Amino acid sequence: MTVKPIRSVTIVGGGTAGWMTAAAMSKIFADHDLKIALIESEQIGTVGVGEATIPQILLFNRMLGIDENAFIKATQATFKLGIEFEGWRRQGHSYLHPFGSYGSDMDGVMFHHFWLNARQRGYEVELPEFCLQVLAAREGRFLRPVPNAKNSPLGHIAYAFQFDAGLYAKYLRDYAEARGVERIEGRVEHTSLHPENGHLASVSLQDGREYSADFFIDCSGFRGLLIEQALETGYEDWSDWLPCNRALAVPSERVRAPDPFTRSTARPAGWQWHIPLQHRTGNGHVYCSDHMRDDEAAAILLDNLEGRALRDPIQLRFVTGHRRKFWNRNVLAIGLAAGFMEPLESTSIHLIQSGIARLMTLFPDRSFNPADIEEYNRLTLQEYEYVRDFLVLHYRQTERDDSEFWRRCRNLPMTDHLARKLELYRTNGRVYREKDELFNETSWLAVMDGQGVVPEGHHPLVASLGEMEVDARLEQILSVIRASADHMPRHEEFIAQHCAAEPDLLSENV
Amino acid sequence: MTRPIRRIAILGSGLEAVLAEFVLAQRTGLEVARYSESNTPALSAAHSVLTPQALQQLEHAGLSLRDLLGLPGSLPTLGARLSKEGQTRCRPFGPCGLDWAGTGFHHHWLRARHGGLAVPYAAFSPAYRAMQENRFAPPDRRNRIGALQHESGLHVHPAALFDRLAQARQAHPIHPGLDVDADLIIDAREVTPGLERAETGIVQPCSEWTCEVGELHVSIPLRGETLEQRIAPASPTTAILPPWTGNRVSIGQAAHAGPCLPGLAVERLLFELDLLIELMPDAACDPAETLEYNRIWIEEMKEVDALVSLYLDVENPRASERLQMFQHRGYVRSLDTSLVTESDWISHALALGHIPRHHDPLSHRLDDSRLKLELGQLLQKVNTVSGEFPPFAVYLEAIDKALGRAEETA
Ligand SMILES: Cc1cc2nc3c(=O)[nH]c(=O)nc-3n(C[C@H](O)[C@H](O)[C@H](O)COP(=O)(O)OP(=O)(O)OC[C@H]3O[C@@H](n4cnc5c(N)ncnc54)[C@H](O)[C@@H]3O)c2cc1C
Repeated sequence: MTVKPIRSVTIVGGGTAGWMTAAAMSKIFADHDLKIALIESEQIGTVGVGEATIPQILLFNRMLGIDENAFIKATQATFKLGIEFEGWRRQGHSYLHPFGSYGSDMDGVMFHHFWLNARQRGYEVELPEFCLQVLAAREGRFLRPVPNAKNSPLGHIAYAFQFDAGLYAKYLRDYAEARGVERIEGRVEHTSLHPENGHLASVSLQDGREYSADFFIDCSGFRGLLIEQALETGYEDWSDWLPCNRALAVPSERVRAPDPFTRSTARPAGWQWHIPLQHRTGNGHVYCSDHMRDDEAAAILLDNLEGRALRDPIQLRFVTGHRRKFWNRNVLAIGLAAGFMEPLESTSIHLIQSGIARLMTLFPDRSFNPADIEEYNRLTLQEYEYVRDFLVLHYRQTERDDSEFWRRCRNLPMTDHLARKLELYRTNGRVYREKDELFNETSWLAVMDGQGVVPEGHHPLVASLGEMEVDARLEQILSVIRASADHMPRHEEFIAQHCAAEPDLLSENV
Repeated sequence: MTRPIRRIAILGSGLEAVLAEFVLAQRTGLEVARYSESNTPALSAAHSVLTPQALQQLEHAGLSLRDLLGLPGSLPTLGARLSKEGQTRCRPFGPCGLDWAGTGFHHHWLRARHGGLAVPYAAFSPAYRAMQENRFAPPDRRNRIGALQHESGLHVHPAALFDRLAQARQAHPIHPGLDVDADLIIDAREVTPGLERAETGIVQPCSEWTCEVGELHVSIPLRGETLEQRIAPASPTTAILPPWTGNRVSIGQAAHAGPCLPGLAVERLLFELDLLIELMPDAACDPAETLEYNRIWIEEMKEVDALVSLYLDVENPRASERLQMFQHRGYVRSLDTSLVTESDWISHALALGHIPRHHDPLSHRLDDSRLKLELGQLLQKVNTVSGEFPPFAVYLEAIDKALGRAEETA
């Protein structure tokens, strides 16, 4: 048997996707004979958004061996315990999708069944009160999980970060360059294919320099320079499911202590994000151009900032969906070049991360076995579909009918997967997670409950406990969670103590 | 809102029925009644192998390992020895080797094998040498090598297990015209071939599997006797059909009579009971739960059938696809099933002599000399650990003493 290892990889694009890929490969292929180059163009720049993450990012940082406090300081990051959805179910209503569980499971039955049992008998305490992250977020508190506190909710605090996308890419660039990745500044103008097999042979820059490689990774953003413009892979349009197609983004001055959560506020034809960082706040308005003009969208965004806008809003246009093949011949697309779903649940950076992990498992040799490529594409598509269904849930399960957009959302098409999940929850409160699904049972539960889906029954085994026993257990859990929240310091105090960004960095970036 | 299930009826006179009765009564606290068509239990050797996973689940239901070890005939086991086309290989329970540099151990092993390594994959588990030398030790901290911990299962006599489970539980007779009063009816009626016994073989901590043309022949040693099982392809009419309709669900053999590997038969039944408890509907048996049960169950059975087909030389497109991918680069796609996992496919395929042509290129993150060193050191540790396992007979004596039954000997 002869393995013909890949000798050179060229990454085109130096946004978050490009530098995450370069950093991961430089770490994994350290001590290995693999030349990694990254081409980027300062003239073109990056999308410059993508600042909210989900807890899986901790695994990526851990894989790179990054010191978390140093990383937070360098990227002006804050901690994130979940996402608040304001006005999504109906105007004036809000709920938090937390990165943590509710109560604690008992006798092999998920906690919320006990709560449902009590609720169906008139119990008034709402489900979110049983989640430490919800209480902490509401009160602006944060603490990392306490080691050796396995039996306390304080031992299981899941969190993510909100960071400055530009600083994150820079941080990863320093990391990758220190590990031998060659950065090439220049604008790719031409690509050439091998005449025999149609593989990408080389890319040439505006100034005539030409770069060839065994394997190319397309991180060139929405344009998909290699996967689409060179290989004409095709794009699957998912606008029927997720009709928003534009975004306006603008940073604003920070006027108060940063919340340890991201906020998404429903607007007449979309929604607005609020991402608090240490040095500023990230804001954006995602909307559907069928139902709102750009100037109206900009006015809504600017009228709803907490602090002064730090520049004019930038507009981004997108079509929700994905490439027909994420990996085509010797080109793999990662990041916006692979596909895009709106940032409602902060999933894009995670999709970059999981694409990298999958690539590592199925890393090719120069024979580019079609079965490996097919498997990569199958798994990636499945991941995208699960995320899409979760996003559709937010829109479809709304009670709002105050605009054409929201009336349209109430009738969005549903996949079998989503219909099944909803039906299982509606009848007896079952929440199931497919094995490789990104969002766990708590996430589905949080959003179904938050959007007002009310189960008719609950797990029958709860009834056999007796009402008094159920009530007593609920009260006990409630008091443990309350006490745990009281134990947590304020978010800004925690940052000041452990990972405050340098003052000179602060002024430089505002 | 409908009312919850209060009464469950189980139909069947075999081990699967009593096991279901025991687990459901223990874990749900509901009223569970069994209806039996015969006074003599239907028993099969298929139920005499309890895998480490099955032992864990039984423990969870209140049947401890100590309880099971105390049953007449019970014998600990470390896995199986498999003979095919004149070659013998081992398939120990639990993992082999350690995943280095984020890459599965079997890829490192494959790479070394392609470079001339003669040591089999299974030799990177302490259970391998123990099986060869008739030694045994239960897994515990002292014989753990980093993250590598071998696992053990148990061979039990189905009659002894039946008696233990049926203790103090009276089955109601089934007679014509009987109207079973229950919210949920579980059909666990087996079509069992009965028990086949062999001459008492050597008392050893593993079962023996022999692949013959289109058939798998299994010998399962117990203390005092050996049970035999012949596993042949299913008749073409054995389809995988949804087991749950209305308030009636079939489990075990009654749900799917296709062939099953030793160990998987009990694991499968315990899985079904677990899923049933997880998705227990209310008395109206809402279709949402039954549909979900059927969906998950069908997927699990298809994967089981695919794995079994490796042993019986029958056409199975799913198995061919898995095997093709595996033989190409040692990769098995991530599976949604819990009865058959990716690592099951890897260990079964390697035990059957399917050696992939390529390994994961990421194995090269360890350079050649480092890989050689790591493999050498690991093998040495594995051999040292297994060399310290006591002879099987000595271990069994110690067990007898601990259980207070010195008169029984190996
Ligand atoms: C409105 C919006 C909000 C978002 N919010 C979030 C969020 O909260 N959380 C989250 O996880 N994700 C979010 N995302 C997604 C996230 O921004 C992206 O996944 C992430 O930034 C990765 O982008 P990228 O690197 O693929 O593309 P880009 O940032 O566009 O980078 C493309 C790179 O390619 C280079 N390039 C392009 N053409 C050429 C050429 N011809 N020659 C040389 N170089 C070239 C560019 O210079 C640049 O370096 C959001 C996206 C949008 C649109």
